[in-house]
Amino acid sequence: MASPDDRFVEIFRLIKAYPNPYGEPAVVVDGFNLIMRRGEVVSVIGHSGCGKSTVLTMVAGLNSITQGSVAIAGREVEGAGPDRAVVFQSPCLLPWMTAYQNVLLGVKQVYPHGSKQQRREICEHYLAEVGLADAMHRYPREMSGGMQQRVGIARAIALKPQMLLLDEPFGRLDSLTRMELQDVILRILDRERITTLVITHDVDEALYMSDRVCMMTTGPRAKVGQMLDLPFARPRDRKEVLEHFLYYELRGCLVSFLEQQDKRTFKTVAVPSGTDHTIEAMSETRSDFRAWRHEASDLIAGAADAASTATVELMAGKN
Amino acid sequence: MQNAVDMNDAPEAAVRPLSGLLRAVEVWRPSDEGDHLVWGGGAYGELDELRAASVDETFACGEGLPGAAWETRSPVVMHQLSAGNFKRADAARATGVTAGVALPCFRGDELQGIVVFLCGDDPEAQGAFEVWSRNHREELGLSASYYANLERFGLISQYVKFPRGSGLPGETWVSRFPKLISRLGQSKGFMRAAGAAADGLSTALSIPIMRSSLDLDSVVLMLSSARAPLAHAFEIWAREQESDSLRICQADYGQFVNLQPGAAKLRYQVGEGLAGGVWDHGVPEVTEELPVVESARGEALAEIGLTTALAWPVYVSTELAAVINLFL
Ligand SMILES: Nc1ncnc2c1ncn2[C@@H]1O[C@H](COP(=O)(O)OP(=O)(O)OP(=O)(O)O)[C@@H](O)[C@H]1O
Ligand SMILES: [Mg+2]
Repeated sequence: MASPDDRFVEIFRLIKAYPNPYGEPAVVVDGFNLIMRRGEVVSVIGHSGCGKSTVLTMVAGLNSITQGSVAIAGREVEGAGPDRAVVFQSPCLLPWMTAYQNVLLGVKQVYPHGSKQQRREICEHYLAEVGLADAMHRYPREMSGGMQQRVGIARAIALKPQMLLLDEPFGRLDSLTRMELQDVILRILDRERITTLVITHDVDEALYMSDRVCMMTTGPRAKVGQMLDLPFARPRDRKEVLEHFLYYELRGCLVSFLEQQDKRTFKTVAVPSGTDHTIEAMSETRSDFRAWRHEASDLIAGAADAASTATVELMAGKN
Repeated sequence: MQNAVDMNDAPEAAVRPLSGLLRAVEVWRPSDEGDHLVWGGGAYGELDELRAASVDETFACGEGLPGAAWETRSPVVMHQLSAGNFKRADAARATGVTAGVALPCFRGDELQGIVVFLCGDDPEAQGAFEVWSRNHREELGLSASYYANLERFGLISQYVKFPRGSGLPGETWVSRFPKLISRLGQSKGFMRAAGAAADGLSTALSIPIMRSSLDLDSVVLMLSSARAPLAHAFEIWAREQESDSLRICQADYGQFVNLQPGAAKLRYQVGEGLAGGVWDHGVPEVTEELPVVESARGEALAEIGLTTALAWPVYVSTELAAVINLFL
């Protein structure tokens, strides 16, 4: 039977219209519906510019809602609040404060009546959780990007939010740091059961981190295309996930959704020198597209060696 | 001999009815007393034994496949007809019919009939029936399904959910009107297009099953392949705005694209043609004399051998929203 926890977060027919250069409303997000169970992690994937951040910032209360509503635990939210903590791609730490002081800033807000001692314990606890026990008193300029993002995560979670909103939190990090931080967040989420919405461009990250994946259609007028329930157990074990008998099927489902929604990018690189090279289409981002072009020019180079008149055809994905 | 020559001259495309995934279709109607279901017509292709076992059969509420759809007022999918609650298990076994799907037709609270699709387990057959029902998070999830040679597609679909307004099921929830999508592989509106294309699916028909005017019970999807189409043609008929006539609002003629231009211009009065008849009586119907019933385009249909058809009404509460025609 349905319980209130089944509908802990209710995002109902969310619409966002930004004025276009002529002052007319351009509908970017058109009727985004999502209901989240308490403690659930939902990742959002979709093409660049489809409106993922727009949805997330509306839920965060940082961006006005044109129409629709967001309710948490049965109460409609209005404006930003410490019940929803946000982590962006860059952590935006205050440069004149140490890691500890940056975390303390938020903690003071949510525990206005806590003692100094209590606040210190909270800050130290969360900084230790993200692996910064020994670097608490460093300034942002003394930390790597990955360490700074750890501070950002500690700062968000120390607020004890009802909902955690992550907008490509590892987008700027190398893949090793990325995997480390995925595990840091998952460990914390398993303990604290915070309902989490995480935007990512990485289908493997979506599969590893979340209980469900929300696939957004390409804008304008973007909305949820479909949801995918993931059958992996929590706490997550990377090896177990990767070896799950459905992993590649589910991954294929996400990738082909993105391909289908892609009007702009390209699919096949054919080198008519006897070989057809099909580059596995993983066309989420423009940067991928750049990577392809690179690969394509490598192919041209290779083909040109073999045959003098090799041409490369980039075939546009059809609607 | 003359006949044989004629047969050879017939267009290559000429079809044998009910030779693909669907082996039989039938309609069950409430008896005059309303206490059980009686046979209301059917087409059984070459399965004479199944027809013989059906015409005098009756079902109480909850009994067998049609009775289950009557009782639950929801679509019912039955697998392994030769073993389960299927009343005609012997005939099913003898004729190789393995699975069945029953769709209830209610006008408000009043049962109009049950439409039954019976499928064979031909290794060449390919297609699917899916029932998408609301879960406690207001999403549509797969609650029942029949997949013929679509293992991958069926497997992944178990994990897919559609919020209101999303995907073909979610759109049908909002519009409360049946919808056809052709060329599934290229469709942006069909979210599982890649999987569908990979598995050879070509056409999707979605049908809303309403509990009341606003309350959705489920959405039924019929997924058809080019290799073994569920139907040779699909048509959705509705009343034309600002007139009393009926017209085709969406259609898919598969390989018989020649039917398309005429169909676009076709207008029927209530009572006319197959769809007009169903509109008039408000109950599902099966015919094996399609060219006669569809006199306006009978010749074209006869030429390609389309003789068998099923049509049924789609109600939203007590209002007749559309009639669906399948040429089998
Ligand atoms: N303040 C604004 N005024 C006008 N248009 C905006 C504004 N902010 C965003 N947009 C437009 O809204 C659309 C969605 O933007 P959004 O940043 O939500 O996309 P996104 O999915 O997060 O993309 P990315 O993956 O690149 O981060 C884009 O087309 C963008 O140009
Ligand atoms: Mg963004």
